[in-house]
Formats: sequence, structure tokens, C-alpha cells
Amino acid sequence: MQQSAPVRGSSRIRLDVDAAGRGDRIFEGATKAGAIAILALLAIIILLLLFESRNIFGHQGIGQFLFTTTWDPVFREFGVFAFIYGTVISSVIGLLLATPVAVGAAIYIVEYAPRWLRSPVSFTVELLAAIPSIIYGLWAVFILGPVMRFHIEPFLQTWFGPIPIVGNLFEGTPIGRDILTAGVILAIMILPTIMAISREVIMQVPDTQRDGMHALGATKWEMIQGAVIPYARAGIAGAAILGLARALGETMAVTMVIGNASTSITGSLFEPGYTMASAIANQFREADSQVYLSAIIAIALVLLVIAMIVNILARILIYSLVGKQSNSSRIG
Amino acid sequence: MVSRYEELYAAAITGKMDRRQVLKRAFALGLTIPAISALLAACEDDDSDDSEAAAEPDSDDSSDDAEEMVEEDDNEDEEGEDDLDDPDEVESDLDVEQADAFLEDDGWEYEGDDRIEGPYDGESDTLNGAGATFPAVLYSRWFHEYEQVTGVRVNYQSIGSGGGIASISDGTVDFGATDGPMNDEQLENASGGNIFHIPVAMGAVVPTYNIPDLDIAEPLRFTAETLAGIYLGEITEWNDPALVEDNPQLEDIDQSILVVHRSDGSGTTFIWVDYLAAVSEEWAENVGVGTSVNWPTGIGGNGNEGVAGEVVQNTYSIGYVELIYALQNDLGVGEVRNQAGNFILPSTSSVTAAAAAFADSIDPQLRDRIVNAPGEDSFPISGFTWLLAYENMDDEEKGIALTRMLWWCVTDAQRWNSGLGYARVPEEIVDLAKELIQDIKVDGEPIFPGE
Amino acid sequence: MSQETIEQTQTIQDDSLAAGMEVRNLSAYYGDFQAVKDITMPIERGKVTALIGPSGCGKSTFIRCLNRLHELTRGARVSGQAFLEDQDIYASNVDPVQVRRVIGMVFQKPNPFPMMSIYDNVIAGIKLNNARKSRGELDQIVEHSLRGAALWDEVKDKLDHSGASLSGGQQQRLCIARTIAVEPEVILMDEPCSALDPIATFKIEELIAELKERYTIALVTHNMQQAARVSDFTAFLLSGEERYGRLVEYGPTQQIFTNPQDEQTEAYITGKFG
Ligand SMILES: Nc1ncnc2c1ncn2[C@@H]1O[C@H](COP(=O)(O)OP(=O)(O)OP(=O)(O)O)[C@@H](O)[C@H]1O
Ligand SMILES: [Mg+2]
Repeated sequence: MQQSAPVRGSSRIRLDVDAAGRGDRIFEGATKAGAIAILALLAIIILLLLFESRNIFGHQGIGQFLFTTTWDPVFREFGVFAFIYGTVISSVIGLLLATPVAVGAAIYIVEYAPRWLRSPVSFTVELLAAIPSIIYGLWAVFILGPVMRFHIEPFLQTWFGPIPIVGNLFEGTPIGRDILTAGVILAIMILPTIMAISREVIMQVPDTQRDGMHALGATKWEMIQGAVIPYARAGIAGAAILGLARALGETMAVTMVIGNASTSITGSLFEPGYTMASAIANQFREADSQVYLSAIIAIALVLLVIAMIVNILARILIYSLVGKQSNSSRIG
Repeated sequence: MVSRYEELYAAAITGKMDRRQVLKRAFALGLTIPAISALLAACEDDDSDDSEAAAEPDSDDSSDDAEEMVEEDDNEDEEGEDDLDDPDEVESDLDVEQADAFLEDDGWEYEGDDRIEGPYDGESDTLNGAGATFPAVLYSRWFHEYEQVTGVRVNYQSIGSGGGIASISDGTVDFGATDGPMNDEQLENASGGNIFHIPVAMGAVVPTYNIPDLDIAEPLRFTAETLAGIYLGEITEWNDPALVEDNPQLEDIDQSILVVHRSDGSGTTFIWVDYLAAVSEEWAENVGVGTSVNWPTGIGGNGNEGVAGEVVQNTYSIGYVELIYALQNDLGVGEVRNQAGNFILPSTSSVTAAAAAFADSIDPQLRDRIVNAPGEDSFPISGFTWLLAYENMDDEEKGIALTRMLWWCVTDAQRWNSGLGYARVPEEIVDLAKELIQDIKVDGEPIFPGE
Repeated sequence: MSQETIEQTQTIQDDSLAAGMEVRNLSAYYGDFQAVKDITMPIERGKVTALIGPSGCGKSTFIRCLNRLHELTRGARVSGQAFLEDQDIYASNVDPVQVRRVIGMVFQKPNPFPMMSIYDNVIAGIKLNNARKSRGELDQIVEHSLRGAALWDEVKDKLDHSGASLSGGQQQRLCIARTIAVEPEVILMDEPCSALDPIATFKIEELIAELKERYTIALVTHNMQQAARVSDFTAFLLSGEERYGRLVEYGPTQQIFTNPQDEQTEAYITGKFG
């Protein structure tokens, strides 16, 4: 037995040659190199931004840079807070407006729409994602802006203006060049992203979940609430975060309607605002001093950091949502 | 629009307005070129009626003439390419860019005998420059012409004034271009030593507004005080007494003013706020002067188009744009009161006048700004656009080519300025610029070879 | 569900004997394809009825018709009648949602709601019924249902864990617990043990034996022994040349397994095909 085994092994069944293993290693190496390259690129971007923005932090404190609202290139005072405010508030408005509509549309397409309607509706919504943002910007300037100025904003002011606290959001003269209008155009722009991903996620919900809820005597809407949405929750949150990330960095269309002014933060959504991306795009080209230029690059750094924070928060959110079902492998 | 056009057409055909008046109105209305051609034809028609009435009793014929005239213009438009070679034909070349030509192209030609001609032995055959976008149209015309004249190819990238200053400072280009003069810090940071500012053209920044109730033919009149007040956020209503004083027609306009400014850094903004700072101490102290500033009020539009767009879009707004943009966009352009107390409608000649008024007092380095100029006819919100060159260069061939090119720009090339909507640099200033050019050195020796 | 039925079911509950069903001429379709044809058979009250037959013969389709789940599939439809006591669940005035509240179902693949705790899984159906129950009542229902599903001892200390954190067998019993928590009349089970190991299967079988004391049960199974062990009646379905499934034979389990009337039945239970 012991004598015959090596003979058979060497003649017919070869276990020592590592052919498949070599291919595996090459593939592993390639993917690893890719992963490292991406990390390195990110590191280089951050280092470069840090290096290029060093002048501003020599010029004034980081606290002043981050938490004051005066951006005055002439007197060399650079406070970025109004830009952060404009970016975050307009993006959040966009997110709050887009998510319910997008998720609603996704639910409609998956759960309600007759089959023949599914593709045309999905296709149309996704087509929206392919429209260049300058087109959205033009549309916003010529259509949305006037509609906001003459119809929606006066309406909001009439109905919500008198309510204490909430009323503060709708103070001032409606001009259609403000944070709210920017939020609305952002909502429209991120809608397709959130819709498309939500739709995929909702389609991934196994029918057994739907059956389970139905079999307990759920109505369709109860089934969606009780089985579909919870199951898809993490994925929908992910979709919303992707939308938010797009909103944070969106430049062109927002620049065209947000008013590009940051005179004061009043808390009103009818106030013109300024986003970080717009500030960079507007001012980078003609920045005429070292400090000014590095202040603008520092905005980019802040934008990057905020985008990263949003992503990390998103991860935490998603993990906390998924965490409840711990070792279930169903939700990837 | 249509009705205004028809009004104007009636005025033209009945001879109530002469050719020049019709044109002025037509540009103010932002009419299209074919429409303007038709109006001109109508004027022509009118003239011929007067002179040829006896000889040509058949009136149908004269209207045929008018049509022919329009057709002719169209043809010449199509041949625009060829025209480029022959500057004399600019006048007949109807084009939006050259709309102003009809107003201001007075057939000016440089009369000095120090014309640049080429090719010249020992000069580099290419020059590279970058900078301001405002004069880019003019420069591309110039450099096209210049290659015909001397065989020297000049590449110009319109990357913005800031970029132009940065490029000349690192020495990545042979010359820069800017709408706002370099500040002391920038001059210190230039890698190759002192930089000369050569003024080569002039522009004006004009207040433009959108008040639908007003007759566009009766422009609003602004003063230093009212403009500063509006942009400081202190005058907020169109019927503010300060405005009504000069503009009785504003009495009933009970609307708040939407202030529009540039959101991007620009030489246009620089000239505008430079003017506001010159006339308002409060502005000078609190806002200051720069290519972008911390605006006390208003919303920002990107580029001249952006500001013009916001003004067109939003009724009861005011903005500021380059003169030529205002002309191209059915916008009301305001008159501005100058130091001498006259309300001046901006035009290329009133801009040139502003610079000429400074000729005696200007710093010989020519970096001075010329807003709020003295002089009866000066438009007060005017400024130079400059080419930037090092005082000391190290490449002899480049030195010869650059000084010759600069010389040509301040002399012969000026004839294209007004045709393209830019004001000429007045001769008094050109003389000073020539001195600077003659002072450019290679190895410590002046390099300009003379004509 | 009409007022009448509620009263009826309550009386029956009081008698601690659930309602039975009677299926008449039931056919089911997926679009143009007829999956099940003309089935007529009873589901006896308080008994276990096994549905057997080769794969693809329409067992799942049929059982899903019994609580009107079939019609939720896109393009699917049903003709015929199915009586719960004297109410045709396919009558035009019947709300399918109400039907499903009294006829529960346990599926082949355990499908607890992964985003809910074990506790919430059990009361998921109760919450739907809009019943305002106190925490104490709910606690009682949860314990009672989990005990009823023979799961209580295993999970009583981790009721706040996710329903997905249990083993496959436990998950299936959790699904049974959630079904019995709403006190249905009939429980439909579609191969409830097919994803489980023999021990978990045994536990479920034991449970079925207990449940039939109080519920009417219909059970689809591929496992002949299981059918023989737990059911009182057996129905044999087959789709022949015609492609649609039909009822070949129905009778007391004893008789079907020892003395089948139809030779196809005999062939199937003796393992000659399928
Ligand atoms: N959603 C569906 N759409 C179309 N046809 C279907 C659908 N589900 C099942 N069928 C068809 O209906 C017939 C019966 O299927 P069914 O699932 O009821 O069989 P089954 O007896 O439960 O089989 P198994 O024992 O494998 O579970 C089969 O021919 C099947 O292909
Ligand atoms: Mg089945």
C-alpha cells in the first residue's frame, strides 16, 4: 500500500503542480495593486491639498477659518463657515426632498406598476441622471427660479411664515436665487441616483419576505412597510448617501441658482447662499494672492473632509441598520 | 421687442431718425444683425428717396434696393473669413462681435511713421502669452493680423487675469495679460524681476438694469453716490429719493432693488469696485478693491453672461457688465455722472477720453487705474487692460520679438479696437507705453530694435 | 370577514376546534398557463391533510390558492371555489386580506423578518390587526406562541435578538410561532421541513401533531414517511401529459398508503416515479 501510492500519484494524479495557484496569485497581486493605488491616490490628494493650503493656516487660525463667516479676499479674512453652511443645508434639503420621492417611485415601479410601465418609467428616470448638470442649471435659471420666486416661495411664506420658528425658514424677499432653490435643483439631480439604486435594492427583497407578511394578513401597504422597506432600509440609506455625496460636490447647477452670496446666515431658506464647490469654481481662477489661493485650496480640503465624514457616518448608519440582523448573510 | 422694432423701423423710414440714431437705438434694443441690416436699408431707402425721387419715379424699385442691400450684407457675412486679411473691410462686415463698429469705428489709423513691419532678422518666430479673457477676442484678431505682417506666431491662452499673472510670474509664458494691475505682493513674487504693464486696450464697466415699466430710450442716470449706496445695500428701493432726484421716472417704481454682482473673480469687478471705492469712503474702508470682494448685498452671477442673465431674468434688478455685453443683451444701460458733473452714456470714445484725461498725472509705470476720470466727456468707470512683460529678459530673440509685438499693439493694432468694442488707448498714454517698451532690456541693454 | 364569520370562528374557538375547508373545482393559472385544474377536496377541520405529488405538479400553487396568496403573483388567477366553513373565500365580497388573517401559512424556506427582533417577529401579525394590546398582553402572546411553537426555552433569553440570528430549524419554528400568534383557523404549510435536518424536522413534526388539536392544517410534503406519520388525510396530485396538475386521489392517509385506489398513486408512493 505504502509502496504503490507514490507510484500511482506520480503517474496519474498530480497534486504538486500549482498551476491554478499561480494564476490566483497574479490576480490577487493585480487587485492588491489596484487597491493600493487607490489608497495612494487619496493620500496624495490629501497631502497635496494640505501642502497647498498651508499658507492660509499660517495666515490665520484654523478656528477662524472654519467657524467664521466673513470671506473677504480684499482684507484677507477667510472664514469658510458660510460656504459649509450653504453646502450642507442645500444638500440636506435636496436629500430630504429627493429621498421620499425617489423611494416612492422605486416602490411604485417594483410593487405597483403594471409590467409594461416598468421599463419606460425606470428608463425615463434614469435618463435624468445622464443630463449634464449645466442643463439642469439652465433649466433652473429659466424655469425653476421664476416658479420658485413667483409661486412656491410666496406660497410657503404665506402659509408657514406666521408659524413661530418654522416661519424663520421662509423669511425675506423671495428671489428664486437662494438655498431653497438650490436644494430643489439638487433634489431633482440626485433623484435618479437614489431612485435607481432603491429600485435595485427593493427588487432584491426576496418574495418570501413579501409572502410572509401577506400571509399574516397584511395589506399591500402594510406588507411594503413591514417587509420591503425594513429589508431594503440599509440599501436605501446607501442610495441616499450616494445622492448626498453627489449633492455635496455638485457645482455647476447650484452655482447658477444659489445666488453666490454669503452676506449673512439668517437661517432663512430664501437667503442667497454659497457652497464650497461654487466658491472654488468661482474664485480659483482669479485668486490674486498666495493666501487667497491657499484659502481656496483649503476649501477643497474642507469639502473633501466633509465628504469623507458623510461617508463614514453613512457607513456607521448602514452598519447600525444592518447590525440588527447580525449574522444574516442575506443583506450584503 | 417686435413693436419696438416696428417703431424704430417707422422712425427710420420716415426719416425721423438718422442712420446713426437708428443704429444707436438698435444696439440698445439688442436687435439681431439681420434686423439691423433691414433698418439700415430702410434709412438708405429714405435717403435715396430724397436724392433720386426725380430720376426714379417708380417707387417699387427703391424698395428692391433695400432688399439688395440686405442680401449684400449677408453675402459679406459669409465671406467673413476673407475679410480678416483686409482690415479696411471691417466696416462692412456685420457681426455681433463687431456691432459696436458701426457706432464707433471712425476709420482711425495710426499715423506715426514707426510702423512695425516684418519679417525681422534675429527675432523669435513664436511668442506665447496667457491671461485675461476680456480682451481675448481682440487679441485673437490682432495676433492673426500680426502673423500676416511679420510672420511671428503669437499664441494666446485666455485663462483669466489671475492665471496670466501667475504664468508670467513663473516665467512659463513670454508675456502675460491682465485686466487688473499686479499688486505689490505679486510684483515681488515674480521670478524674473520687475514687470512692465503695457496698456493696450480699454474697457468700460456699465450699470445695467431691468425695470420693465421704463422706456428704454430714456436711460437711468446714476451718480457715484447712488451706485455706491445701492451696492452697499443702503439704497434698497428704486424710488429712493436719491435716485428719483436724477430720474423722475422712478417716482412710481415702488420695488426693491435686486443687486447682482459677479460671483467669480474678474477684472470687470475690479474696475467696478475700484470706482465705488474712489467715490465712496465707506466702500473703500469696508469693502475695498479686488477682483472679488466681500459683497455687502446682492446675488452673484458667473461671468458677464451670468450677471446679464440674472438681470434679464429678474425684474427690478441692477448689475454691472462689460459695455459690449450690455449692448448685446436688450439691457438698459445707465448713464453715469462723471467728475465734471456730466451724465455720460458709455461708449468707446468716452472711455478713451477718460484715459486721455489722466495723461498728465499718470504714473509712468502705467499701472494706475483711471476710474472717476476728470474731463468733460470721460466715462468714469473705465479701465485699461494690460500686457505684462519682464523689464529684463534673457533671450535676445524673444526680446526682439516681444518688444516689436508690444510696439505694434500700442500703435498699428489700435485700429481694430473700437471695431471690436474695445476703446483705443489715447495717444498720450501710448507715448508713455512706448517709453516702457524701449526700456525692456536683454543683458542690461535695451533690446527694442526700432521700427 | 363578515360579522357572521367572526362570531362563528369565535364559537369554534370556544369549542377549541378550528374551521375546516372545502375546495370545489379550483383551477389556478399563471397567465395563460394552467398550473392546477379542477381540484375538489375537503381540508378537514382539526385534522392534518397532506398534499403529495411529484415536483412541479402544482402543490405549492394549490396550497397558495387556499389563502388567496396565489393571486398576488403577477398575472396569476384562480377560478372555482374554496369554502371556509360556509364562506367562499373567492366570493366577490370577500377581502383577501381578511382571508389571510384567518388562514396562515408557513413556507418552505424559513422567512423570519430579519430587521425585527424575535419578539417583534412573533407579534408582527398582531400589530397588523390594529389591536391595541398592552405590553403585558403582548408578552403573554409572545410566550404563548413561542411555547406553542416549541421554541420558548431556546429563545426566551434573547427575545430582542434578530429573527435572522436563529438556526434554520429555529427560524422555521419562529415562523410557526408568528403564524399561530394571530390565532388563525387554518395553517397552510408548504414543505416546512425541506430545509431542515432530521432532528429539526422531527421537532416540527411533533409540533404539527400538537397543533392539529387546535388548528386545521394542510401540509405539502415530499417526504412520504412524513405524510404517513403526521397526516390524517392525503391528497395525491399529478401533472401528466396535460402539464397541469390535477387531483388523482384523496382519502384517509391510512388508505392511501396501504391501499391506493389509483395505480399512479401506488406507483408514486412505492417510489416508482417522481
Ligand atoms: N410564478 C410562476 N409563474 C409561472 N409558472 C409557475 C410559477 N410558479 C410555478 N409555476 C409553474 O406551475 C407549475 C406548478 O408549480 P408548483 O410550484 O406549484 O409545483 P410544486 O408541486 O410545488 O413543485 P415542488 O414540489 O418542486 O415544489 C409548474 O409547472 C411550474 O413551472
Ligand atoms: Mg412547491
